Amino acid sequence: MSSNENLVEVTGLTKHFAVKQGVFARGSSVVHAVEDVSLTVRRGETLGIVGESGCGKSTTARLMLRLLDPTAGRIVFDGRDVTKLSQRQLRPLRREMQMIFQDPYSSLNPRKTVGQIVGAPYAIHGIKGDTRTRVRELLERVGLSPEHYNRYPHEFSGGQRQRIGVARALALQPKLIVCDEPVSALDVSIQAQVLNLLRSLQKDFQLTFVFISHDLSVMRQIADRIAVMYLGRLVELGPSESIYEHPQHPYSAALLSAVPRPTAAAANGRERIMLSGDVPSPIDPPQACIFHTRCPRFHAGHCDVEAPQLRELKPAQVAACHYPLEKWPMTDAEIRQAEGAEREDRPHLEGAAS
Amino acid sequence: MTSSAERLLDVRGLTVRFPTSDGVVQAVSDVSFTLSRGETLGVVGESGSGKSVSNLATMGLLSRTRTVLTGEILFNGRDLLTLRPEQMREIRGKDIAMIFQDPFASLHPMYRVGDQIAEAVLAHADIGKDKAGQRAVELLDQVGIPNAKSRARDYPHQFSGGMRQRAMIAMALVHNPSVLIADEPTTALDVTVQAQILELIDQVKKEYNIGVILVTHDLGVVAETANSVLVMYAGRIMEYGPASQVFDLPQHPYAWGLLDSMPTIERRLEALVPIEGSPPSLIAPPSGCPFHPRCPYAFGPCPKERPPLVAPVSEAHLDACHLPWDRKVDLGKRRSIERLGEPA
Repeated sequence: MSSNENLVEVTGLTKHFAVKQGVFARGSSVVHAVEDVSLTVRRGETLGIVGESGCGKSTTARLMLRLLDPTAGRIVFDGRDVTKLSQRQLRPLRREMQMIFQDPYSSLNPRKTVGQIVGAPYAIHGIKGDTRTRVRELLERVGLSPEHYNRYPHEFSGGQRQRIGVARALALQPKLIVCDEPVSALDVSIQAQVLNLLRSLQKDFQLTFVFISHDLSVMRQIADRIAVMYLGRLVELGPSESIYEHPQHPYSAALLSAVPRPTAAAANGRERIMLSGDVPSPIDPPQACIFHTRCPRFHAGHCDVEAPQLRELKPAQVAACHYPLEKWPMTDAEIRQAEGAEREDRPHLEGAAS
Repeated sequence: MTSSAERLLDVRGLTVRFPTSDGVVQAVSDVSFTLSRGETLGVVGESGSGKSVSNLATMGLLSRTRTVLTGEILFNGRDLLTLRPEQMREIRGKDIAMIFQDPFASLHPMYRVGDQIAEAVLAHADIGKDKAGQRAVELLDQVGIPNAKSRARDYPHQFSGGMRQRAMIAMALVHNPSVLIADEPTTALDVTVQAQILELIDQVKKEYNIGVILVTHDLGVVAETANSVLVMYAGRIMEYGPASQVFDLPQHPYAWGLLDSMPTIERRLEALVPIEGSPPSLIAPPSGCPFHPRCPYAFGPCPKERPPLVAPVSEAHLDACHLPWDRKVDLGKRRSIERLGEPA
């Protein structure tokens, strides 16, 4: 693993949040937000992180940027161990890492003009010179008009606001941009505009993206490699094509099969894999395999006893499962018929696993 | 859309106007559709297309003093728009029920879930409190809440998002409604839970033999669950027809745009095809066809005349577009080749 090829390397990344329980806040317990995640982000690629809400995808990205302090683990950014750097030491590195947020309404200060918002990074990092011209150029590059310089965020539509957020992230010519659900709040017709913009910017500026989304269709359009997270753990990681065409982990497969298809032709003959119930609480996550409480291939005495390790099942594709899928697509019944699998219930008729 | 099934709703020329200090918002203009028993009507459109407002009108939830409503909403032969508020109250929540996007905001945080459902029971039925409580438990059980009896005593925050939406569905079913309006019922939910809730709605529809109006911006959700589809833009109907036809042979350039701009999960596309520009202001909507400023095929009459909603080929499949039919067939063919490749 040459650090030249990898912009970010995280090893054993763990984040626990202490929460108080009970009205009188006597006992405290721990939310296992991110648990032992190791992955790399290669230069110039888009690493997608997918998973349901609460799976730790945003926390992982924030840890990479050191916006949160990890409980354990190591973060190497651009060849430098940043795990223990103080906020002050991090400052110069912040220029290299930027973020685009989900909500284009709350992530822009309503009292500042677009020029001030996009120019803020220059002011913060004490960059002098003709920042005004640079801001205008940035606005133009992201598809806004330089005349928008003196307008306020409320004068813009959701898609245009997201473009302002993109311009701000680009201002310091960062190496890494974390995009946290950047198109989730936008209408479909506008989503495509912003996705196309991100793709072309990546090409032009050799950007590296960490792209977080719960939308697997969006992810397919942008990610080169994909990390699937469940309850704070990495359950599968591999090249995008490979994950979509040959998911190995039953959870990845369930996520893929749950996406409603927009054409009747694509939807026909495809059976959904229904997962039982809801995601368990990260305060008290299941033992051994984290997914065993909902897994259609659950084997008692194995999955609930021994934690599966990530292992390479396809070239460059790793998954943490004792009983990975032999083929794809697979019907619900086929998955359940995996040798000895014991979960026979029709879980969509139930609520949470009780 | 079939005439054999019992018709529940017949909406004719529904128009909703909100006078504001900035001008009159033309939220819904001349919208007509029908809903029959056993039918799921998917209403799709972007934000501000009027899809939610038309349903709020059906529920009688728009303020009569601040809204100008015209047209007819016939339910069992009665025009809902002419009913007095107390008459509407008899129907709302009883014959026509609704579930909303955010199940947490729709439940009162300080009352037990079971009690809230029981309250809905008591709103239209003269039975004892205990009986109402029992009915609440029965319903929770029916919508798939495990241990319904003890879970009925929980507060909403003790439920997960999916369970809250199940509880809302239970509440909607209290009086065996004939119409269920679901406004973005799965938007706030994770995709695996979304699949569960959509399945539940479909199951409820069949079991109770009701009509469902499913409002959503997600075309995938509609494609999988709806029998018929209404595509709205800027408060108007752009296309309306059986789901299979609308998705396989969409007729309106806006429907093409919506379908093409959707990122597909099937494969990685070279470039996504967005609809350029943004949705128009409803205070001063574009003249003629409201979509013409964003339409790549707009020509002579588009900015001047409003295209009527007509059926160019199949009687059940309507669209509002000036393009001549043979041109649309041509464009539609090219479009599907671009997207799906040459037919094998």
